[in-house]
Amino acid sequence: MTPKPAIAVSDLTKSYGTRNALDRLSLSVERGSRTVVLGHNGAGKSTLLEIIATLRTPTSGTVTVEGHDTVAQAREARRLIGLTPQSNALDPLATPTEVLDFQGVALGLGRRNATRRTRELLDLFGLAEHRRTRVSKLSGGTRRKVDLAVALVAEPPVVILDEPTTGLDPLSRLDFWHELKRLNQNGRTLLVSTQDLHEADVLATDVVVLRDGAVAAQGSPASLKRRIGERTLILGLADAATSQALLASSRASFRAEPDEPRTVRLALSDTPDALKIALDDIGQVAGGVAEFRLTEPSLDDVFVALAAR
Amino acid sequence: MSLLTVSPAPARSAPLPVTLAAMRRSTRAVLRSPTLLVTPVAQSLFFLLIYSGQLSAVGSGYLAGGSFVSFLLPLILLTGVATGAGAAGTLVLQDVTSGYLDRLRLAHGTATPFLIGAVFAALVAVAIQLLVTVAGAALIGYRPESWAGMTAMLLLMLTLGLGIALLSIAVAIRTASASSTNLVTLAVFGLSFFTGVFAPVDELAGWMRAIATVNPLTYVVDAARQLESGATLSAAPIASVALVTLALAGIAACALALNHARRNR
Repeated sequence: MTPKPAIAVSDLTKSYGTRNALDRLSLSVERGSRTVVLGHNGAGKSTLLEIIATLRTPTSGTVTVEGHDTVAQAREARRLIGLTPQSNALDPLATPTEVLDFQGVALGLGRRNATRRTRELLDLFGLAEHRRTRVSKLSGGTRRKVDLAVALVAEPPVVILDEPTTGLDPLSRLDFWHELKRLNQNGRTLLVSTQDLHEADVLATDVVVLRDGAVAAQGSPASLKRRIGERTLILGLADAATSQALLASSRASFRAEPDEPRTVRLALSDTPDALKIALDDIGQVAGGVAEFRLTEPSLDDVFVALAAR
Repeated sequence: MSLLTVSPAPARSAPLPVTLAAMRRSTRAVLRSPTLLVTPVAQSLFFLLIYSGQLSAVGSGYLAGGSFVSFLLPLILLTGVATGAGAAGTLVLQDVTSGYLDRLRLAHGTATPFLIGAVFAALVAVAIQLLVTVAGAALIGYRPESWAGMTAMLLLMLTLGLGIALLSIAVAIRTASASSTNLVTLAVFGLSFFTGVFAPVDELAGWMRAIATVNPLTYVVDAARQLESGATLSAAPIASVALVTLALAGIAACALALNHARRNR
């Protein structure tokens, strides 16, 4: 039996006037996955995430979170969701302690439990030294950690993060990715939108590519890369003569670009024989090989192939 | 509880503790925002000094037994309330534009406690401002005719502040725009000068008297003067109707704005 998904979106349409921000979109997010939604500006990422988080209502179609419809059973669905919106949705005049305490009370934890949970989250995110600093005076990375901590006050099984690392410096981003991977345990599902393809590659167990409000592709990063292209073997040869010799003698379809005569490339199909044949032929010119590389398509290639208009 | 524990949030959070916490949070925000607190106070004290300094000789006989400062004070308080109560809209606007109100609504299920918190905080700011202004007036010679009357006048001003705060919140939710939210303050501020500002309504020029007669704020100012001086409360019935209507309109406007936001999500 197929396990029930954490999030199921079926035939979802969201219209603003005559424009469809989402157009009969369907997707499924596996429980415990780190699913990353990719798409160009205006592809519908934020709208999709906000509908799942019950902040917007669909024009048509259904969304369920752990089996609860986000419109008909919005209250039940909300209990399961932690949200980190695109911008820092925090009280800039409050301290992290005050923000977390207030979130706990708003969630109905009660003052004592809220205070205890605040202490735990400040420790877990390394925010204890900033606990009395106003949010407006924190660095971007620290503020984002507070944002994430707020989403976790109620220990939600589903955490939704809308472009969580936008504007962070590279070190803060690495730190944030580490925190996200740490969260993704005990069956907790992370749904993340981003425009950063490297982020998607580092984080995702599953990638959803949106184009014009619909799903252009969904799958693991590896499967999407395979889908849009093959691995490529690249050889740097000592001189153009060796390159010509290999191109003339090999049974494999090596090719060289006119402006790079000493570099030959071979697109490897999924058949195991392709690489074996190539390696046998390379053996004939082994002394002339200066560089040997095996590359596969990047998520950049996937994005360009699948999300470009 | 830990970072890795996974469990749903409590099924329902009681509204009262959330409302009380929202009141504390919004009041803290006002107290930490010097512009929200200091600007209306500075404005009131400025008008008080300028008007009383320039006009007290002219208007010394307007309030039987009282000084011109006593005559002027309700109007000064009213203009301050117009500015100060708008803090509610400013607070809510910050939460709307940053997405924080959405986040709180997601946590609690409804935005109402957070809006009540903003109204409460604005009224705290208005109360501080009223007391500072009265203290400033005392420094230039103001002595209340009756403490009970003066307290009643301050409560009247707080009631006016409630209506303005609610309307400014409604506009903040509906428009998510600072300039539109400030229009509420601007409108009340402007209307306050179409009352018997520096002289009783009967002594105004014809066209101004006509406007002042239909301006509900005229009756609020007159009722405040009557309360303060212990005179017959002839303006109180219309003032009460005006203030209750304003507060009810504010509540209705908030409900409509929330409903509009819900329908357009």
